[in-house]
Amino acid sequence: MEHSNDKYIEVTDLKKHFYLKQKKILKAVDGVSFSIKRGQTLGLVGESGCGKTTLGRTLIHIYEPTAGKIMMDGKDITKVNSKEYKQLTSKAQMIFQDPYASLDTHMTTLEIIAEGMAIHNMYSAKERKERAEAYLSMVGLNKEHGSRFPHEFSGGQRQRIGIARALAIEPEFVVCDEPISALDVSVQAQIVNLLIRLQNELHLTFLFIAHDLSMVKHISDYVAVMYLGAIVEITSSEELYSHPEHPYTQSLLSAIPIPDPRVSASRKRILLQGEIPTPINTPPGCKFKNRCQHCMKRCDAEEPKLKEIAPGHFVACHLFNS
Amino acid sequence: MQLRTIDYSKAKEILKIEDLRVSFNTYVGEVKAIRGVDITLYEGEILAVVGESGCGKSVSFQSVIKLLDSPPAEYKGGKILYQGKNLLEASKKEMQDIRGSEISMIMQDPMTALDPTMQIGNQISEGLRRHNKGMSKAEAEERVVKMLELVGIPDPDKRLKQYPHEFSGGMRQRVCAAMALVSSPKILIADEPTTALDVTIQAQIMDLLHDLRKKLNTAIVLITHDLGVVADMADRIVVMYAGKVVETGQVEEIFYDSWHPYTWGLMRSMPKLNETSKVELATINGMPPDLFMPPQGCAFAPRCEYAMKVCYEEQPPVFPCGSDSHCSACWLMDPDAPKVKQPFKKDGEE
Repeated sequence: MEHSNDKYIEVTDLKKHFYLKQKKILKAVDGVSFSIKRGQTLGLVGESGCGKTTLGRTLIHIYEPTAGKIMMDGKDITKVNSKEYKQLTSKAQMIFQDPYASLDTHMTTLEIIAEGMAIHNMYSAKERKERAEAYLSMVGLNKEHGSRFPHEFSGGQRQRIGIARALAIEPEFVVCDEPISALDVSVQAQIVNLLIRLQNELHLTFLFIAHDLSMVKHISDYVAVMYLGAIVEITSSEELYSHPEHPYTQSLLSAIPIPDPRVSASRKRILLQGEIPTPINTPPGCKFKNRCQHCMKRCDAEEPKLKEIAPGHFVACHLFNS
Repeated sequence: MQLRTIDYSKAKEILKIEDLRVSFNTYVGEVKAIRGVDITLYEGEILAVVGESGCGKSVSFQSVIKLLDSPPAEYKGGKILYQGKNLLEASKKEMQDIRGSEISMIMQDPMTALDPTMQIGNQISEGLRRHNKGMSKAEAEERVVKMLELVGIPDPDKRLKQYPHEFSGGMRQRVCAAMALVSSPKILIADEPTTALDVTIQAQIMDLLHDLRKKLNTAIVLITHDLGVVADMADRIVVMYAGKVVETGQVEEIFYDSWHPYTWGLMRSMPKLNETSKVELATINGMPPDLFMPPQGCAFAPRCEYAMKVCYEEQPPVFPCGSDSHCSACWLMDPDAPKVKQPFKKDGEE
């Protein structure tokens, strides 16, 4: 990746393995490296089960990494003690997928938003309430909403509350884990607009996890494509969508339905056969080999590494390793 | 993908929903979920029904096979005509004969739609043997194997004996499709069949439905809020809002020549892959109305930038928009209304 000093997140060879019964190992994240510049958004896409949520959770230390290094704002967060850990969690926050399950039903909106500030001993109780109200209006809700309970809100409004809660602690880095996939199309657009606006106002750094590829393109500066715990392609979002190089990215992009009947009728699809294999006890070699139409002898033996094939465009495929 | 080939001047009606009204009686009052819906389905077509959650798209078609629990649901009026018969008046026994054999359904969530304690072979043949009393077990099994093959499940002889948990999400949705289609129904209602699936699996299921329509000439009702899927699949589109149909037309008419402000809003809120990133997406401001107290006039008027005085006072009738298949329920189509330019037209620029 590009060498500059304003990398906010830098991940090197990160692994997160889960140890199951009968000595099986689930390699959810298996050697991932990337960086995110301050104030930018990295989109992370892939099929369910590819490890994108695990990666997001490991980044903000919900999971302990198995191996590898995570630098956040110049500090290695894999080696923190409990005191530093609390400080760290105030800098990194998460917005969850399901706005119905992620809010405490017994708390009012203001309590939900102010709780994090109290945990981190920020401000006085009075100030916390004022700030919570300010965040409420920042996400497009009004003061009266503050005394209501989560069940009184629609999905889009709840997601706004989830965003206000995450931002109230004044984080610098936010992991958005499929924040819009439970919402209607027209509401999705509202939430995406809100996230982009808040990012600009508050200079936030985002990891945006999603499987809706068209929304990811819209919000991201860079996009990484994940398959079975590894990043197979990473580049700027314009480049990824105009020149996808990895066979998996190509078929993934060709599977997105385009909301334009004439375009979609004239388009050729690369239909992927089968489904994503299990990440338990994966065989050696390229992880995509079973579904790849370009599979060669070499793919069986050796796992391809990310390689820069054009400035800022990295692909992990033996097709580019000759 | 093939071009749409249905000739609607010759197409035969197979199902007709007329002025359907459905309410739910809840402890806080009556929710008027469906407020006078007219939808016609033609033989062998794929009809997409789109709209936001709560607009009544699922309820309308659950009414067709009477899957709604009553109470709380109550059919307040209208007709659902299938082969000259009003299904709303059909007896429980008659409905059991129609359900699964003439009209069947694929549910949104393949994880919960199957019985976890039954082998999938038995699950698929259960309905088949119910509808064909004389059919032997061996015959039924043969049909099931053929069906599993048709929906693209490898090794059907073996998989027949497996339980749902042994299948992945995409495979389960194929099992659901096999179950819905095994008695060769005339109508298949697919309620968000791919919402729970990944794009790659979604593409496989979409191809499967296309294929099945071609082979079996089943009319498919595709209930969805994904306009991408609609563009890929549909012959005709019904746009619903707040318990009413606001616009109906062939796929090209809705995507390129729409005449309802709500449809314009829906189309504009989709991000386009060829657009530069991080520009503001168009949104529809506000929220759908409360169906406890549906508005007197057009339900979309409070969110509509073109709303006139009449929109708040009177419900718009259905106006034709140039062709027999295209109509819109919007006062802008009234001959006396001020002329507006469509803000969303794919051919011209916005």
